[in-house]
Amino acid sequence: MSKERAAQLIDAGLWLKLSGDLDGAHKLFERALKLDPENERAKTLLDGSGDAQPVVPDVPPASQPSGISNPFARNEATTVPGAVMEGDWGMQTGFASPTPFSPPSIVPVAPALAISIEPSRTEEVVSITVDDGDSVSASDPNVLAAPVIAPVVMPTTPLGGVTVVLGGEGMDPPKPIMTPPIFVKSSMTPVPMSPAPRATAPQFDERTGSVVISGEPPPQASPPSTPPLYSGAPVVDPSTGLRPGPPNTIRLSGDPAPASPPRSTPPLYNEASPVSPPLAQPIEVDVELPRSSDSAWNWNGPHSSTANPVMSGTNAIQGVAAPWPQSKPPLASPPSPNFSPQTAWDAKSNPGISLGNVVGEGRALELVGNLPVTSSPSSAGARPAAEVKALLRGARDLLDLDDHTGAVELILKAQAIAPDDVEVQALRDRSERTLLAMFESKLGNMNAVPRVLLKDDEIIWLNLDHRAGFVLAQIDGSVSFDDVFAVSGMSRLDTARIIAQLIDEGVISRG
Amino acid sequence: MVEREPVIGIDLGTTNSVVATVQSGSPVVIRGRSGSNLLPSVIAFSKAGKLLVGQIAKRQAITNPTDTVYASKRLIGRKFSSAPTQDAMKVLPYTVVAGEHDDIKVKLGPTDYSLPEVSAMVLKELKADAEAFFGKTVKKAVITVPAYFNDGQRQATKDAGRIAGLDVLRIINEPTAAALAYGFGKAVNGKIAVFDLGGGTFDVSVLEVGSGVFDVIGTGGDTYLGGEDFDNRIIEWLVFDFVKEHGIDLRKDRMALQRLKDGAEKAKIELSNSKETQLNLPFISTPVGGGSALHLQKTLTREKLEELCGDLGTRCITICEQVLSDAKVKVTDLKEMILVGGMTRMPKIQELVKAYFRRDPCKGVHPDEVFALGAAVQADALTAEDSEVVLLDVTPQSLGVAIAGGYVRRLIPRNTTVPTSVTEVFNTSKDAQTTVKIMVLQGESEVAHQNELLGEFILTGLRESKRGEVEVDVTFEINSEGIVSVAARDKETGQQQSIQVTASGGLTESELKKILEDQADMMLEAKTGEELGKRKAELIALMKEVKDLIPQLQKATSGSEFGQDAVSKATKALEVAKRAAEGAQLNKVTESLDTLTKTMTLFKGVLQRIS
Repeated sequence: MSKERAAQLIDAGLWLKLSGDLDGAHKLFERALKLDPENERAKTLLDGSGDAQPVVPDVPPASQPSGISNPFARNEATTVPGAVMEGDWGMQTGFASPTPFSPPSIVPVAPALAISIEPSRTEEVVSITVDDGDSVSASDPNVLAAPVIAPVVMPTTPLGGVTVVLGGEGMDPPKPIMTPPIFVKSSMTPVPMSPAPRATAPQFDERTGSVVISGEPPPQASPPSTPPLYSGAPVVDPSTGLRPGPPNTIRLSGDPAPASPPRSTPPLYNEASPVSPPLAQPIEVDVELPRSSDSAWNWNGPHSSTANPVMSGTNAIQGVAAPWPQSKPPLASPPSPNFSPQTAWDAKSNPGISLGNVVGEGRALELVGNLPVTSSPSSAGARPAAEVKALLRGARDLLDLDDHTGAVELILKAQAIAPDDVEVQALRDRSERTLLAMFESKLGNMNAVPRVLLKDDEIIWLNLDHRAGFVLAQIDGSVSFDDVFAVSGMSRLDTARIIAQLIDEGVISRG
Repeated sequence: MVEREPVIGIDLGTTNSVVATVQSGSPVVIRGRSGSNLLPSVIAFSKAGKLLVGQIAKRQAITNPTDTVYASKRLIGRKFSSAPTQDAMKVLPYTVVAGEHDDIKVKLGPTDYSLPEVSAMVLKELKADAEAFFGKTVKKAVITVPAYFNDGQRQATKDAGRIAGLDVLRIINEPTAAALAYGFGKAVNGKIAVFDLGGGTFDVSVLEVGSGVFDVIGTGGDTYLGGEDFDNRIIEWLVFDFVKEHGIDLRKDRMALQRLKDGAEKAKIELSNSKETQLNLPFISTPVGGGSALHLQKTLTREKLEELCGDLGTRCITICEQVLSDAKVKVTDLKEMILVGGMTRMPKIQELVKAYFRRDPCKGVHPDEVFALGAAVQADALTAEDSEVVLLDVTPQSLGVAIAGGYVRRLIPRNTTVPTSVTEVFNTSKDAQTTVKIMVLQGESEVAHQNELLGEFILTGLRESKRGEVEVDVTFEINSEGIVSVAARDKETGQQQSIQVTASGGLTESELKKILEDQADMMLEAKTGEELGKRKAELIALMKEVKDLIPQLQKATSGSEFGQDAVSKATKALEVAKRAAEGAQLNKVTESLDTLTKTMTLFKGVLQRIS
């Protein structure tokens, strides 16, 4: 019983993780582990869930005191063999759905490390801390030629003028060899992340005045023609052009055509998209576990003339341009045509793929793992209903565990699928009421006047979003909780949640 | 000796309002319950339907723009179709709709409110502050208005006072209040300039003070120039730099814009006392694609602020030149110069004003409290038995009739003491003219259409004759109530037509009465609700006591018939009480309270006797 419950909790946790609520997911995984201490899945998820990276590179705060360890630096995550990497899906697509039975783990994608140095300052020392703590100088030709092996995770900090690009390629490093901080004697401004460059010799671009240096792969590894976006990528089999993958792994490979989006863009696309041509290489699906063929993924539109081949079960099919069945809707909406690798990333016009856009009739759920979803191609409306049912069940489970925040997350997902469902609405109302009561009980007297407990220079290091920042700005020692609710411009629940969070984190007093 | 009834002076400003009173012969500002002397003239209905007034309403003005009303002073007493209203509507984010008689209403939630009602909400807050200060009800007040306000605007302000539960003793001109605050009129006689740069408007007036008479001889300004423009320059500067650095336009995010506005205003105020200030707005924006929230941290120097707002100061001086020129007053003719409004604390403004007027401005009174203090002096003088100051009601603006060529013939000039009566003879302007149209105008312009039309009527049946031969007497009369009567009489035939003009603030008397009645009902409801809540709490406490006594009684009476009967009755009474406590009927709650009180007394008596 406890094992079943643990499995349910893990499923629910995975949903939360997909929606970005990593704390909630972590909590559920912990609970699952408590119920079933031997649960390997929970253990693995706990290892990985807390290390999840934001899907878009963090931007450092406007002012960052030097000499203090960078709180925006990301943690390195261990690679779990057999897991679909977030990088497979592209850095900007949002969290990928985990593979069935495979403990998902989020691994930092190796971004290109872009450092630009003003021409007049080319002689200035650029210190880069390497894993053993040594400092190297960027002006040293040896350094420039030295291989730089990813994952390198750091705030992208380019400087104006000459651009030095240290190409970082993930080649299954046992541990990252380069970690922040990087100290540069210049002003730093963020630049959009560029796609991982190929391993090439340093080149000087006279037009732009930039030197481009790509890190070479380590000598023991044969350099792949296309740098994989995640660590631990298997080597391409030269005979087949395919990369053998571990069981239960769905991997996306193939070099993008010259005009195709960078590797970090969503691999799911509709070929009708003007800027997103089909993958140059076939998509490999290696699934050992029985799975209904109609639940196989596809990322081509129904009318694709050059549909990507799909492996079904263990039978590899490749290079066959078969018309896609009309009944199969695309798994996700096409990437925005506004995106091109040459332009800066604009998440508004290129929102990536959210679960709400996945119209795969329950297939998204299958990816989560154990969630029992019956997939029948003939029952078009059955899958959303089953999804809703599964989500509501998960929500109720969470409610039983008093995790109302997680429950609301799931209910909101259910409501996105079935906006008019009375049951969903009723459950949402109930959960929100309970949540609000819980948050308000943390606040205590609504007429009390809260005060900020931290100094300005401490506040900037908190992990808050702009909404919490707005609420915090209203707390000036003259307004009561009641007033904050009135001026927040947000729903009472959202405001209460933020205030409760600020109290919990010791940012403000109760009054 | 009977204690004097408290009276207050109110500066009902476009951006901020202040209340003051006279204590021990000196005017003092009444500090609000929030601890501030200034009350932002902003009202709002929050998303939860709660009425917000003052600072709280101001702090959510940008995040809740459609349900927040500010600068209502720009609209009060005006016609919906008038040019100033139409201009204001272009910049106001809240919905302004036309009333039944071309008056103005603003939409707040599901309800349309007249402007006097909106202003009344601010006045009520000030009244409550004053009552908290005095510890008793305050009913009488003097309110200041700009010198250019016409009768309609003044009447609307009076109506607002009435809705707020105030007896408005008098409406006085703001420059007059400024002169009174400085005690001019006694020691200082001569011409005085009042430079008023407030939050949203700029006014400059020239007063002739002598023998206790305050005559506004020139006034002008810009109703869209004030502290907000200075704030906006700072915001633009911040936004520009942020866009350059992060590619995010903060103005598109209401939360960010609200913080920018608050931050800019704070920085501007700080720069009046220091050379530089820090603008620290952490977590102002989250990048669209996600990631850590960005901070805005900038240092603003006084020098930079002056550079950003240089043209605004110059504009003020240009307007001063114009007003003085129109009033035919030289800078050297001025005896004193008064600075009013928070913006005049800015050193650069003081410097510009000093350079132009070639004299130091008067000091000693906080610039944003001047009008309220003057109004308090006036209010005190009106109610004091032994006041040396004799205050007379005067006409705020000139009254006249339209004459041939589209001009105005003034019959009663402004500042004429009322009651008064004036008669003048007019002639026909055309041959064979048998009718004359009498258009009653109020204002200072020589051109008819630039004045306010108070009313019109036609006198018919004139004798056909050559132009200028027929004479018509036109009589203007203002009684002590301020009611204007205009009559035209054919001198030859004695035929007469007349009209009576009462200043209207947009609300008819019946509308005003209805508002007051509704308000009384709401107050009664609120009172009843309060009473109901109190009684319910009592009932619930009593129910608990009775419930707790039942087992004791059962034990004491050992299952006797009396005991059983008493318990059964008490249980029934408890059920009824429970229903009453869940309902909203005061009489049922009261009945249950009575029943349970009797039960309680009975139980206690029995228990006492047995033990």
